[in-house]
Amino acid sequence: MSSLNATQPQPSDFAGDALRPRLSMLDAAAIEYVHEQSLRLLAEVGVRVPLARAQALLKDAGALVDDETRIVRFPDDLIESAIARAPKTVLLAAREPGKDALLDHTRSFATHDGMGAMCLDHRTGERRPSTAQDLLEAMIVADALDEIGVLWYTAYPCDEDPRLQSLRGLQAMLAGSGKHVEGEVTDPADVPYVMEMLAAASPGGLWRPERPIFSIVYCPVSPLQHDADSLEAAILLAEQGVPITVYSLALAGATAPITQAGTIVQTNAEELAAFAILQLAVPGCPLVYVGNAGVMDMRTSTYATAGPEEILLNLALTEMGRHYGFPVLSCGLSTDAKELCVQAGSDGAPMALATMLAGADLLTGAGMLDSAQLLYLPKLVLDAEIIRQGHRLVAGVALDDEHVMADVTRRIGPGGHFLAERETRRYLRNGELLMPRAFVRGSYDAWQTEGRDETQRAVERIEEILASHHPLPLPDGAPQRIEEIIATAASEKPAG
Amino acid sequence: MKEQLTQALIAGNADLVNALTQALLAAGTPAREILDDALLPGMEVVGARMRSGECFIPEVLLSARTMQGALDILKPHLGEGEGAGLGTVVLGTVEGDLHDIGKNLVGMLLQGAGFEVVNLGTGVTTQQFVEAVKEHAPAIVGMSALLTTTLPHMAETLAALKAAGLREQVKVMVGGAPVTQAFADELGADGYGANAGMAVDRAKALAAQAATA
Ligand code: B1M
Repeated sequence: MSSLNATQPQPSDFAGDALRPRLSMLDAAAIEYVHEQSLRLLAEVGVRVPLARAQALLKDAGALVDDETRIVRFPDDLIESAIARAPKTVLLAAREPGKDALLDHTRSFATHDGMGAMCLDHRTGERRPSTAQDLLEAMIVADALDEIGVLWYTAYPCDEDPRLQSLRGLQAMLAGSGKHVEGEVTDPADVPYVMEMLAAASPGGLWRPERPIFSIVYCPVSPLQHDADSLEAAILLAEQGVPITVYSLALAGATAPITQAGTIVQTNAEELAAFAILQLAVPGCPLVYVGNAGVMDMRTSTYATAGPEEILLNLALTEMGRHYGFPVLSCGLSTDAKELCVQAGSDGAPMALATMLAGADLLTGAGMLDSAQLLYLPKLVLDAEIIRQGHRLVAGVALDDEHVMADVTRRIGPGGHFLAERETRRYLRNGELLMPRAFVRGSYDAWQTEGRDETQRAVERIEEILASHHPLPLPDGAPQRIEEIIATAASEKPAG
Repeated sequence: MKEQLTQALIAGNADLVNALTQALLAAGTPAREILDDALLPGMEVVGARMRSGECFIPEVLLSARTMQGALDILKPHLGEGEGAGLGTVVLGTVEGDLHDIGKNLVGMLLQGAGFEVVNLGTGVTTQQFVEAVKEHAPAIVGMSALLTTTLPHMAETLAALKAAGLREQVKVMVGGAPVTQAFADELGADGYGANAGMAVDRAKALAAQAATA
């Protein structure tokens, strides 16, 4: 019986660790294959770049530019040097201290879905064009939700002059939150007004490129094209230090091959080409790689935002972005459902969790229905709960002597319980167990007595936030200054 | 052989459709008859199957493209301006808007249904629409917009067509995700399609109106 050494723990090589689950699909050889295939596409098929300024830069850097078709073929070294040059961590700074989102591959910051033009009004149940007020409320609610780290331009202010919707959107975003805001600027003529608005909103009235409080989503056009105006606006903003999220949104089967493999390679190629163009235009500019592509639903010919294929595309593309060392935005929580229902949860949650487990730095998708077209605030609150679960999942298991709690178990012995132990309280308070905020646990009777369903509870939470939460105010005089800037834009921009 | 041609078109078998079209012509069948009795009925079947969900978009487009190949063979044998007979549609995405997936889909299905389609691309200005209407004298001019910020260009184009004295001679259709029937009515457009299938049905009805007017 001498071998049963009950009192002396066996020595072990394992020193203890924080174990984080990860989801990975591509091994080194697969990554190399996708990279090679992407380079071949860029060198042989090329990308249409209809902006003279970008063409000239590309030509100088050794690309083959067809002046007639404006198709640019990229030599491998041009792409490789852009990969080397692009910053590997990107700061999305917040106006409010302590709310920065530093994209350094250590956590996923969640953000809204975007950028739709409809709202399902949680007060009336009516589906109608979204307004500046809807956007403002979406900002304030997200500002109050810890789970949301960065704010997106989730819905257009359709009640405003169409020429000014980008600027009005930015105004609502700045007023509604102290967190980092990511918007949309596709008209180069808007850039000066945007920069003035940002300066007005910045602490001290000065835009600081080293602490950008604003970034934009820039979209290449699949397959393998760019839009001159959007590209020009992106370059002008990058020159000012505004980070750019490069969102190439291919629809598999329509604007990319129907196969996952084809869409992965094409999207990766489109991202790399955009990185190369922007790094040539503004060396070292902060960029975010987007590990996401869509699918066309072949029955209805609509954009499908969710489903197993999307998860696979997200996983592979997120891994490609991470392989290059770039900060990566990917997608989850989006749904094609038209209401809060089983489909909405089942479209959204698995994709969000997969994206987080794959290590995306940013996760878009919270708060919308109908394939990113319909803002519904109660969904934002419920999505925040899924994000909390994701953060808990990614935090993983701390496996070491202290966390095994063998001393406590020894103390309690067979037949005892852990509920009244100090260690139990300590770990509970440290987040070992997730406490649901929006989701229901407890007894059926208690739930029934309370008499409110999921959506009602979410609506109440929204109204509570809107009544009591005050985002960090803009600097003194900034709201007036911003209003003046927009008034100037209104008088200077050609009538629509 | 005509029934075989119809079936080959439904199956999207371009080689067979081309061969059968040539063979029918060689056997002395009038081009008009090949079109009316074999090809157009084939596309009708494909369209109906799409609406009932039996047939998917790529299959419909494959048939539409096959139809285009057959039309190219028939063209020299059809009378001047006869085409597939439904008339011309000038189509474009409005200024400031680059979305073209839906517009192109509508264009391909219109072609498949027998329209001649002039696709002006994306970012089409009011002036370009007006010029194209002058140049091609289409039965229908179609505008697509996917952004709330670019929708107003539809009204501008309508106004410009009026100012140029062209509004009476052309039907105007609009579409795109943010466009609704109510918006189209308010605009004073003649037609709207929530999806490509509905757009084709509406275009056919408008073409028929124009023909009897
Ligand atoms: C003439 O008669 C007719 C009759 C019927 C007609 C018709 C004409 N035209 C269409 N129809 C109808 O039949 C078609 C077939 O059934 C249908 O066409 P659809 O076009 O509706 O359907 C297509 C077959 C499939 N659907 C699509 O192709 C559109 C899908 C979504 C996801 C979409 C895509 C793919 C893209 N986008 Co954009 N995009 C979105 C779209 C969101 C969504 N869920 O729909 C939308 C429209 N985009 C939006 C935005 C904001 C933008 N996009 C942009 C860019 C892009 C991509 C390049 C990435 C890509 C376009 C690629 C391309 N070649 O078209 C930018 C636009 C810049 C510009 N100047 O135009 C940018 C501004 C983003 C940015 N930060 O730059 C949003 C619009 C918000 C608003 N204010 O209205 C948007 C709703 C997405 C979102 N939630 O963010 C019907 O509408």
